[in-house]
Amino acid sequence: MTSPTSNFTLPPAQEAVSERSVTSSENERQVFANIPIPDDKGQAKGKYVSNKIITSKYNIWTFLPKNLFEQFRRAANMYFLIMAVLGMIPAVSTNSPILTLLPLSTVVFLTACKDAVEDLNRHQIDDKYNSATCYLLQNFENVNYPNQTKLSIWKRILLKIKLFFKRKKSKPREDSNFNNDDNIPCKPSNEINGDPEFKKVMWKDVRVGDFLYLKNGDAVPADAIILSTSEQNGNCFVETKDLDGETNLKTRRSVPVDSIKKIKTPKECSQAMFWIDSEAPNSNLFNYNAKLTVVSDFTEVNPSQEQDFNSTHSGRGQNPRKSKNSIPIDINNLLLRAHVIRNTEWVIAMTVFTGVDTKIILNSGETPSKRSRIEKEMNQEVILNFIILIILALICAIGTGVSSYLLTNSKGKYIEERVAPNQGSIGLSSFLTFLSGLIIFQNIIPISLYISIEFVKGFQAFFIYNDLDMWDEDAEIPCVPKSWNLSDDLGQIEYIFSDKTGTLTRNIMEFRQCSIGGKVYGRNGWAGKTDASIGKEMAQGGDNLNDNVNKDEIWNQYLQELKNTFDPKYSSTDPDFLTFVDPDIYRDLNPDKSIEEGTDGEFNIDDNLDKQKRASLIREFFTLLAVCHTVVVDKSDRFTNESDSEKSISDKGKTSVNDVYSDQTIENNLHQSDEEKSSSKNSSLDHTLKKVKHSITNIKSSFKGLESMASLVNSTSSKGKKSISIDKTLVYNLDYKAESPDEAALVSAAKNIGFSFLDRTLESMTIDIFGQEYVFDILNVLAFNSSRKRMSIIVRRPETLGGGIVLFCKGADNIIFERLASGQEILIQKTSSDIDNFSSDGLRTLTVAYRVLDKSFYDSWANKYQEASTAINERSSKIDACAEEIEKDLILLGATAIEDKLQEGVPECIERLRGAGIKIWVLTGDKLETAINIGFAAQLLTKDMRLWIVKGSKKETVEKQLDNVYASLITGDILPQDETEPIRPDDTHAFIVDGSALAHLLDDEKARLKILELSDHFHSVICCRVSPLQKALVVELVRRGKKSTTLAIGDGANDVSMIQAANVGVGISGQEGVQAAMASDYNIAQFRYLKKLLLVHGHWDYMRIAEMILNFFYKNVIWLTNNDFIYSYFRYSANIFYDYSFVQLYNMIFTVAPVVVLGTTDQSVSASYCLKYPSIYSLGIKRMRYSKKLFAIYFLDGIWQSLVVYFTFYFIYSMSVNVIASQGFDAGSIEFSTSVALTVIVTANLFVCFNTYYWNWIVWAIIVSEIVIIFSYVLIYGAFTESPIVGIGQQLIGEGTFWFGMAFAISLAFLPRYVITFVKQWWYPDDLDIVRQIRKSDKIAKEKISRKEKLKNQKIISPTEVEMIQS
Amino acid sequence: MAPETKSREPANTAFKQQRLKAWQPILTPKTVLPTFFIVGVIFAPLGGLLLWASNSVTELSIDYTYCDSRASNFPNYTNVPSEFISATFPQVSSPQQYMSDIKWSREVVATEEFKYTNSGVWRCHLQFRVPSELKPPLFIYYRLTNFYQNHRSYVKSFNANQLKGLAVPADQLKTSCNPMAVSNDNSSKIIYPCGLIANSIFNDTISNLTLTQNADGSKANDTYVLVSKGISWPSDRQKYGPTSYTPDQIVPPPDWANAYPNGTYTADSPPPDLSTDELFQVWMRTAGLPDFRKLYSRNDTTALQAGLYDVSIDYRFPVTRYGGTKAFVLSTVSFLGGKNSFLGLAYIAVGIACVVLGAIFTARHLYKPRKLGDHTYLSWNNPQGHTNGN
Repeated sequence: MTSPTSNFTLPPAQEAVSERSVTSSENERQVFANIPIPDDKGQAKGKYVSNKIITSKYNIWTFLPKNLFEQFRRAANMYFLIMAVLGMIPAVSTNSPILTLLPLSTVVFLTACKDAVEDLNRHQIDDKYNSATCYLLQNFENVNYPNQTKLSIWKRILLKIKLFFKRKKSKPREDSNFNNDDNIPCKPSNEINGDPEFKKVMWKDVRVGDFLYLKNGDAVPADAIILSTSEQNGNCFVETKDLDGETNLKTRRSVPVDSIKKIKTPKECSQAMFWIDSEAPNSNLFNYNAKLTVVSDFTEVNPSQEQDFNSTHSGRGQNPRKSKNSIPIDINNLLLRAHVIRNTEWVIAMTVFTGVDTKIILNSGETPSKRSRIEKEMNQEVILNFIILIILALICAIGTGVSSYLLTNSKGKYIEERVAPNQGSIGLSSFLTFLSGLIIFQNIIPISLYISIEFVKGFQAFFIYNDLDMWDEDAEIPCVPKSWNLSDDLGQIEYIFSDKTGTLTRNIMEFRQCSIGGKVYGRNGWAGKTDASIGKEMAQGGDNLNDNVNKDEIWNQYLQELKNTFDPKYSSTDPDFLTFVDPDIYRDLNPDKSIEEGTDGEFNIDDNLDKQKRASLIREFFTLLAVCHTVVVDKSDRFTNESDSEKSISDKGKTSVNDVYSDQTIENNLHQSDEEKSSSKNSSLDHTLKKVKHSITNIKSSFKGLESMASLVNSTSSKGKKSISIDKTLVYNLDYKAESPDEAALVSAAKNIGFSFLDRTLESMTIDIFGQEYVFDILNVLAFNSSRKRMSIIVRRPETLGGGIVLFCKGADNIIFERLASGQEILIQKTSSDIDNFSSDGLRTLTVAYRVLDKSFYDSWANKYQEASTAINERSSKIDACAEEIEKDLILLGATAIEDKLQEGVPECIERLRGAGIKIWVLTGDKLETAINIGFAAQLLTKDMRLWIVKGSKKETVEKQLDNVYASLITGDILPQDETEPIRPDDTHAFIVDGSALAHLLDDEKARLKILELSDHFHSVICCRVSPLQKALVVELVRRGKKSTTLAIGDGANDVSMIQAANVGVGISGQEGVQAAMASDYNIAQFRYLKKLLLVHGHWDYMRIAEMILNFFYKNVIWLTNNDFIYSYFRYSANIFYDYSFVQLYNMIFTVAPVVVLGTTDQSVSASYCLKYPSIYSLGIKRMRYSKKLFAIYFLDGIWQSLVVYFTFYFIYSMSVNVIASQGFDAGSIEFSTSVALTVIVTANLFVCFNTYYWNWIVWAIIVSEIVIIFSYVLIYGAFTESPIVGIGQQLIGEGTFWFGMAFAISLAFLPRYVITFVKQWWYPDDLDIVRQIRKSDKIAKEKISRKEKLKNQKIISPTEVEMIQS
Repeated sequence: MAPETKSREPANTAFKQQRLKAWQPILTPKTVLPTFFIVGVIFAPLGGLLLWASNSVTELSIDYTYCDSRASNFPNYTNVPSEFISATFPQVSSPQQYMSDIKWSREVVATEEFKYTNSGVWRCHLQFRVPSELKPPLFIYYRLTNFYQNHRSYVKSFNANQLKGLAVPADQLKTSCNPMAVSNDNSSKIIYPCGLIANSIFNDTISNLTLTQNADGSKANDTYVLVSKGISWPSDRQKYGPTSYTPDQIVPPPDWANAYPNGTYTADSPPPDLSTDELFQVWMRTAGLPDFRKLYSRNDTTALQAGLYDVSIDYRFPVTRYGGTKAFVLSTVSFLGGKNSFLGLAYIAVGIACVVLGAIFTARHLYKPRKLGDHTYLSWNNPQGHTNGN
C-alpha cells in the first residue's frame, strides 16, 4: 500500500484552495481526482455521506424500544398506560389491573405488527436500491477518502464473516474497459491490487470522487459530473422522467475540456489530475454551479512515465504542471441520481454528491406520517374530554374531602365507624378518590374508539380497493389505498394539485389534422372526436354522437393510395396505430393519377391553385415536418443487440446491468414470436400477449430490481398501447425521442405519410421520402425558445430534390403570419380560419412555412450569424436579431393540429370535482404554452376566463406583475398600463405562473400572502416549469396558509415531494416510474377515478368517520354523565355506579357494533346521487359534519339523554322510596344502576341508528342483536349466584316500572334530537338533506309509475283512476 | 405495472360494491307530524292510567326517630307531630279522619335480643287509624334517610363466600371485609358475618300490629299476622347458606355483641342461619339512594280491617348520630310497586308536549309548505351559493 509522500508539493491546488477559502462556505466541496488533498487547508477526508439510502425506521435491534417509544409518544397510548398503571395501585383500583391492561396491550401489539410489516417493506425497497450495482473505477486511490477506512473492530469481524459467506465465482475474462468477471460486487477501497479497472460495486458503496462507468440503459447511482462519453462531441442522452416526469430524452454534455473528454480507459482515469469546486448540495434540479480545474495536461505523459505514474500513484516525482484554467460546470454537465443513460454507449463520470446529498433525495423530502384532519381535530376533543375527566375526578375528590370533613366534625363518630371507617386524613382520602375517579371516568376517552376507527378505516380501504368503478380493466389495477387512515380526508379535499403529464394527459400526442395550402386533411372523422369537442358538444346539449363515418372505406382508400404511391418500409399500415388517415393526401400528391371525383368541391375554394402546385406544397409540408425538429432516433436497439451478444458469452444468472438487457431481449423475442403468431390467430393474440406480458413483469420483479430496470420497464409501458400491442406492419421500427412529445408526433406523422426521418448527425439528416433516402446538410438550427415561439432549420437540400438552401420554420401562428411574404392573403385567411377550428377542437396547432434562400444572401447572413453566436456580450439577443433577419418573407405551407390525448374522462371528472367546490391547481414541468393548451382541453380554462399570467425571472418584474393582479382583483384598482377591460364581478379568473417567477413569489412572505388571498378568486391555477420541490412548496403554502385539506395527484418521481406534502397523495400507477405510487396514499390507474374516489368514497367516508366519532363521544357521555350525579349519593366515595361488567363491555360489545356499522356501511345517498349532485361534497370542505359545534351538540345531547335516563329512574326509585316491584320487594342499588345501564345502552344503540342514513340489513341485524344481547346478557349473567347482578334481569323484566320508565326515558331523550333534526332537515336543509329528499321523491315517482304500469297491465283500471294516481 | 398481477378484479357483489338494499328514511312532515300525535295520543292516557295506579296505593309512614325523646311514657299517647307523618288513604277524602289518631308512646323494656346486657331499650308504641279495609298483600317497611349504603368502602365490605357458608380464613377476609374482618381484641377471631354492611344491620324490631279498636269504635285485640318470610328476592336467597364455621372460630360483629353472651357465639347462642334470615338478606341488598325503604314483614292473605291499630317497635338502631331518620311504613302496592306519581305525570307531560309540538309544526307546515325534492333549494341554484363549473 503506497501512500503519497509528504514532500509532494502541489502549488496550484494549494493556491486554488487558498483562493477559494475566502469565499467558500462550509458546505461547498472540493472533489479531487488523483491529487492529494493539501493537508493543512483541505477538508477532512471522507467526510461525505455514504451513498446508502435508508428510509426504513427500525432494524431488528432497535425495533422494540424504538417502536414502543413511538407508540407511547402518542398521547392516547400514554394516557391508557397511565390509567393502567393507576389501576394497579390497590388503594385506588376498582377492578383487576390485568383487565385494564389487556385492551392497551392488544392495541400496542397490533400496531407493532403493522409497523413491522411496513418497515420490512421499506427495508426491501432500500435494499433494492442500495444493492443495485454499477461499474466503478477500482485499484485507484480516491484521494477524497482516507486510505484506510476506519472500521471498528467488530465491524471488521462482521465484514469478514460476510465475506466468508459470499461464494466466490471468479472467471477471468478479457475486456478492454471493465472487468465484470466477479459476480460479487466488490467494496470500493483505496487499496491497489493491480491495474485500475472498472469493477462492479453496489450503489451504496459509491463514494464522492469515484469514477463511474455507465453504459446505455444504466441508472446513475449518484450525482456525477460527466467527464467523457462514447459520442464524439461528448454528448450523451439521459432520461429524466424519474426526476421531472418528462419522458423525453435530454442532452447532457461532458466537461468542455479536451483532455478530459478524451478519457476512455480506466488507466486514463487514474491519471487524470483535476479537481472540482462544487457548490453545496441543494435541491435545485435546474441549476448547478461548479468549476473544474485541470492540474496539468496529463494526457501528454509518455508511456514510460505512465508506468511510473501508475505505480507511484498520482504522479510523485513529476513536476506538476501549471493549472491551465478553471472551466465552469453547469447543470448540463451533471448526471443526477435516477437519470438513465440512453442512446449513448458509455459515459464516464465523477461523483460529486452521494446519498442524501443527491438532488433527487433532497427533493424527495421526509416521508411524513399523515394523519387525517378529523383525527387531528378529534385529538383536541380528546384533550377536552381529558380536562373534563380531570374536573370530574376533582369534583369527586373535593366531595370526599367535604363529606369526610363533615363526618368527622359534626355528627359524631358513629357513622365513621359504621359506614366509612379508616378514611385516613382528608387530604389523602381526597387524593385517592381523585385517582379512583380518574379510573372510573377513564372511559370518557374510550380506547375502543381508536381501535374502532382503525377497523372502520380498514373496511373503508377494503371498499375502495374493491370498487369496480375504479378497477382499470387494461392495466388490471384496482384503486389501492396505501394509507388506511386518510379515507375521511378524501371527503374534505378543497384543493387538488395535479401533475399534468401522465396524470391529466396520457402523454400521447396524436397528429390529427393538418391544413396544407388552405385545404384541411384529416377531418374525416377517422380518429373520432377530440376530448375538447366532445366536451363542447356536451355543454351545448347535443347528443348526436353517432358520426356516420365509414372507417373501413376511408382506410381501404387510404391504403390503396398509399400502396400506389410507395412501398411502405417505415410507415405504419395498421389502422389501429394511425390517428391521421386521409387518402386525399396521396390523391393530391399524385395529381396525374388522382381522379377528379375524389376531391369534392366543398374544399376546393382554391381552384386557382393548380394541382401540381398543391402536390409540391404537400411534399414540402411533410419534408418540413421530417426535417425541422430536434428529434433523435432512439438507438437503444443497437446497444441492446451488442449487449445481447455480450450476454451470450457471459455466464448466466448474472444480475444487474445485463439483466436489463435480458429483459428487453425477452421482450424482443416476444415481439418476434408475436409476429409469428399473428399470422395464425388474431383473436386470441391479445389475450396470450397479455398473459405473457404478466409473466414477464413477474420475472422482472423477481430480479433484484434496479432503478434502471424499473425505468426501462416503465419506458416500454409508458409508450402506452403502442408498446403493449406491437405494430406488426412496420418493417423497421424507428423510436423517436424528442424534447417535446409534439415534435415526436409530427415526425411520426410525416413518417407514416412516407417522409421518414431516419437519422441525424450534427451536420446532416437522413430522410427517407417514399422509399428513397436523401441527406440534408444542416447549416443552422435556430432553436425554439419561449420568446421566439418558433424554430427554424436551414438545410441544404439534396440536388435530387431540387437543391438549394432552404429555411424551414414552424411556430405559433401569429409569429409565422407576421413573417410571411406578401401576396398570400387568401391562403393566410383560409389557414387561419382552419387554425381557429383546430383550436376550438382543443387541438394544439403549429404553423409551418419555408423559404428558399439565395446562396449569396445566406452566405452573408451566415457570417453575421457566426459573429453573433460567438459574441461575448448579449449573445442571445444578437442571435435573435440575426434570426429575425432571415426568418422573413416566408411561404406559408399550412398548419398542423395535434391532440394531446387527455386521459379518458378527464374534462368530465374535472367538471364534477369543480361542481363539488374543489379547486384544481395544475403543477407541471411543462412550458407555459403547453400547460395553457392542456388547461383548455381539460376544461380547466375556458374561453371566457381571464388569464392572469405571471412570469419572468427577475424578482422585481414578477412582484410587479403579482401586484397588478392583486390590485385588479382585490383592491379593484386598475393600473393604467394594464388591460383596458374592467373586472366584472362575474368574471372568472385563472392564474398562470411560471416556475422561475414562482420561486420569487414563494421566497417572499408578502407575495405568499397575496397568492393565498388571491387563490379564492381563481377558478384555476396553473404553475408551469416547476421543480418537484416547488410543487411541494406550493402544496405546503396552500395547506398551511389556507388550512385546507389538499390532495396531490401525480405519476412521476417528480411528484413525490408534492404527494408527500399534501394531506392526501394520490399516485397514478402504471404510467411512469413507481416512486409516485410508492409515496402515495392511494394508487389509482386513471385520473378520472378521482371522481369516484373523492365524490363517493371520500364523501361517504368523511360522513361515516365524522358521524362515528361524534356518536362515539356521545355514547361515552351518555354512559358516564349520570355517574357523576350518583356520586353525591355515594358521598363522593368514588364508588362505581354500574356493575363493573357493564363498564367493561359497554364499549366493547354492547354499543360498539352499530357505531362500527355506521362507520362502515352508512351512505348519505347512494353513489349515483353523490355523482349527480357533487355539491353535497362541499359539506366536507366546509367541515359541516365534524366540528367543535357538532361535538358540543353531541356532547350536550349525551348529557341531556344521560340525565333523562338517570333522573327518570331516580324519580322512580326516590319517589316510590325504593319500592318499585309489584310484589312489594324493595330495590337495591344494582337494580337502579342496571335499569339505568340497560336504558342507556338501548338509547345509545337507537341513537346511533337514528343517525344512520342507510338502513341496510346489517344495520337492522346489528341493532336487533345488540338489544337482544344486552337483555340476554343481563339474564344469563344474572343466573349465576356469584354474579353481582344475580336475579336482577328477571326482576327488572318482570316489573312494569322498568318498562314504563325505559319507554319514557327513551322517548324524552330522543325528543329534542328528533325535533331539531326534523326542523333542520325540513326547514333549514343543507344540500345533502335536499339531495336525500330528491332521492326520496324520485323513488316515490318511480313507484307511482311502476304501480301505474302494474294497474295498466291488469287492465282493470278506468281512465279516471289513472288520473287520480297521477295527481 | 404492479409486480403482482394475478387478476385482482374485485367481485361484483352488492356488499363489496356497497349497493346493499336499504331503507333510507328521511324526516318529512308526512312522517314526522303523525309521530307527534301518535306519541301524544298514547302517552297522555297512559300517564293517566299510571297516575291512577299510583293513587290507588295506600301508604302510611310514621317517622319515629324522636320517639325515644319526644313521646310520652306508656301507656299515655301523644300525637305524633305532623311533620313525621305522611299518609295517603285513597278511599278517604279528608286526612283529618286519621291524622288526629296517629299517636306515640314509649317505655323501657328488656328485650329478648338484648338480654345479655343489663340495659333495657326503648320500646315505641305507634297508634294509627286505618280508615278503610286494606286488601292484601300488605307490607311493613322501615325507612331510613341519610344512610349512605352505597359508600364505596361500605358497599364493598362483605365476603360473598362467607355468606354462602364457606369457612373463609381470616387473611382472605381482611381485604374484603376490612375493617370488620376480625375482632379487635387479642383473640383476633373471625367476625361472622364480617364486614361493615352486616355489622350495621337495622336491628329495631317491629311487632304486634294489633287492632285495638274496630271501625265502629268497639274495642278489639286482634293481632294482625305479619311474617318476615318472603321478604327478600328469591334470587338473593341463593347467596346465603348456614355457616361451616364452628362457633369458637367466630365472634359476632361489634354491633351485634349485645345480643350474645359476652359478645360471643356459643352452642346455645349459635350464629344466625343466614339462609333463613331474610331480614339480614334484605339488609345486605344495599340501597342505591340514601333515602330508602326496606321490607320488614308482610301479609299476603289477610285484609287489614278498618280500625285503630297499635304497633310496637323496639328502638335500638341509632340514626340521630349521623343525622338520619327512621320510619315505620305500612303500604299496599300497585302493579308499579309503591306509591309513585312520577311516571304518570311524566307521561302526561310528554304526551301533551308532543301534541303541542305536532300542532305547531302542522301549522307551520300548512302556512309555509315545501315541496319534497325540489332542486331549487340546492345551494348552487341560489345566487349566494358558490358557482359550479357549468
